Amino acid sequence: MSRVAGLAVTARAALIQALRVLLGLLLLTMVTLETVQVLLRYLFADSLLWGRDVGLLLLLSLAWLGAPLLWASQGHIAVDALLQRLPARAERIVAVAVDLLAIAAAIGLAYVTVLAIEAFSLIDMPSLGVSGAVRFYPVLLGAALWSLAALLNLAAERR
Amino acid sequence: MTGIALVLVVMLALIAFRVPVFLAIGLATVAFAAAFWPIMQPMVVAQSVQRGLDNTAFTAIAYFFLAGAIMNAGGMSARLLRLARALVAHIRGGLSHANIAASMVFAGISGSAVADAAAVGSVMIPAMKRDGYSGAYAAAVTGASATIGLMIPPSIPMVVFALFTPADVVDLFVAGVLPGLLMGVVLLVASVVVAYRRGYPAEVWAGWRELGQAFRGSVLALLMPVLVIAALVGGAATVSEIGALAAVYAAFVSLFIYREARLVELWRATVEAAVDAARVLIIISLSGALVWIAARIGVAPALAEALSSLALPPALTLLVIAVGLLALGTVLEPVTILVVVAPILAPAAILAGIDVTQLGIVFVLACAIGLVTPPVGVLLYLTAAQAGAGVATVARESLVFLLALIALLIAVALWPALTLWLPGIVNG
Repeated sequence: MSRVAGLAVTARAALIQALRVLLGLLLLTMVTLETVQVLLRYLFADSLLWGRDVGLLLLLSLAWLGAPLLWASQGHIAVDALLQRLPARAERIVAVAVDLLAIAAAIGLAYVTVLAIEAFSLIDMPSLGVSGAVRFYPVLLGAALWSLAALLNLAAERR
Repeated sequence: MTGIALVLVVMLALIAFRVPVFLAIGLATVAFAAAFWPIMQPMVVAQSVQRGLDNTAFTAIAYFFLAGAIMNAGGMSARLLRLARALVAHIRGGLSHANIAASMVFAGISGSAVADAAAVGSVMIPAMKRDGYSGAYAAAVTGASATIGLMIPPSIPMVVFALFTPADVVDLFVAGVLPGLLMGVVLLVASVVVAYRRGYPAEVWAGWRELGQAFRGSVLALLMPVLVIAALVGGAATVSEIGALAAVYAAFVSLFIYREARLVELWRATVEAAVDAARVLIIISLSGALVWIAARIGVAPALAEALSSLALPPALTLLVIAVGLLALGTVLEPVTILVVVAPILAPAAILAGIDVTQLGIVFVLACAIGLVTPPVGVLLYLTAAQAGAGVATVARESLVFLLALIALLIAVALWPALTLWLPGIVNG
């Protein structure tokens, strides 16, 4: 294994580990927030006004920070029945093509997300007192990390 | 219709080359945007991706994954398996029946067929092999019975179906109970027939005392689906709140009552549940664009026209849909079918006179069957790996169970009372 490939394997493992911790924390926060909302409603006839918006942001973050983690660990839902019948070399070529496709898609997604952020920057999210553009931040961050994960995959598989 | 045909062809072609489903959906959307410019502006893609998850009810998916993962980590597996063995292991082919019974009780705590198969299979497959069953048969029973997890509430596919169609999640949960139990019954019948034909052994009857102790040991886990349905039907909380409370309940029982889990194990379960949820949620997020396209080009009215041109009564129309879903299920997994097909098909089916709750149950049952059909049956691969058996052999051994489940699917499609009777009683 080349030095670059070795570094990429280490970086990919670190990325996977960091995102696993982050995803776990996100889910814990979501459950806590939801439970607090129920308790507040039944015990104090009250609720957190920002609860819904924060919950949705956490949900988007869970999905979009999960995407690079699953890409790096090849854990996305995919169908490999056809590829299993191809020779190993063809399978490898397809894997490289899929990673390149992912990088292109992630860059495209980041671009359209930046457009959306600009468009929504003047619309307020009243419950949080911030711009409505924050709704798109998890997608932007996820797209950036997703392209990084695909790059690391390509470098790690380099012979 | 050319637009949606393009989207589906591009998506399926990419999926065939192992492009992850979420990316295949995204690229199919881009193909549509390019081919039909300027119908779909670039910013609409970003908005659709965000809007795809713009509903707090989607959080229920993550919470039910978490509740199941905590229950498994908290020693529930062993307790429920003990109960299943005490119930049916004394009948000829007992461990096979116990495997099915275990999946029935597991179904009520996890909502995920893969989680059920992993938990039940890790204990039952080695036990069945030790008792003289072939690894392939043990894998086939485990895979087929794990499909019950999709039908008995809480069911993650039902939450997804309800969020993409006009169906009510409470009605779906209630409607799924009877077909879910019937899945267990038809699988048990198939298992008994196989056991007598092959002369499989029976275990010694453990006695009423053991049965009572096993029941007492698992009663808090068995209570979970009951509490979930009661809370939903009673309107005590939303589906996402109940999902979160189910996870908290599971953690409380595991930590303080059974005391079989430490915090570190609960943390590991949380991380695994978060990753499992992300795997589903990312597809749902991207499917927002697909739903936008379907609505923009008016797929539902065209499909409704096509369905009405068949001039079939609703029950037969539903049967045709079920056959189509079974065919799709051989190559696609449930989440993809639910987020891609359900929002397109449901409005047309409703116009054709089909009850949306019954449609939902047919969708989920057909998707469940798809999990054990080659070439893309996730449960076939999982249980074959657990048993160290060939996938083709497991698929052959699964045939009898598959036929039993297909017979039930036909009954559910043709006989609305099987799904609508219980919600009718509950809703007064």
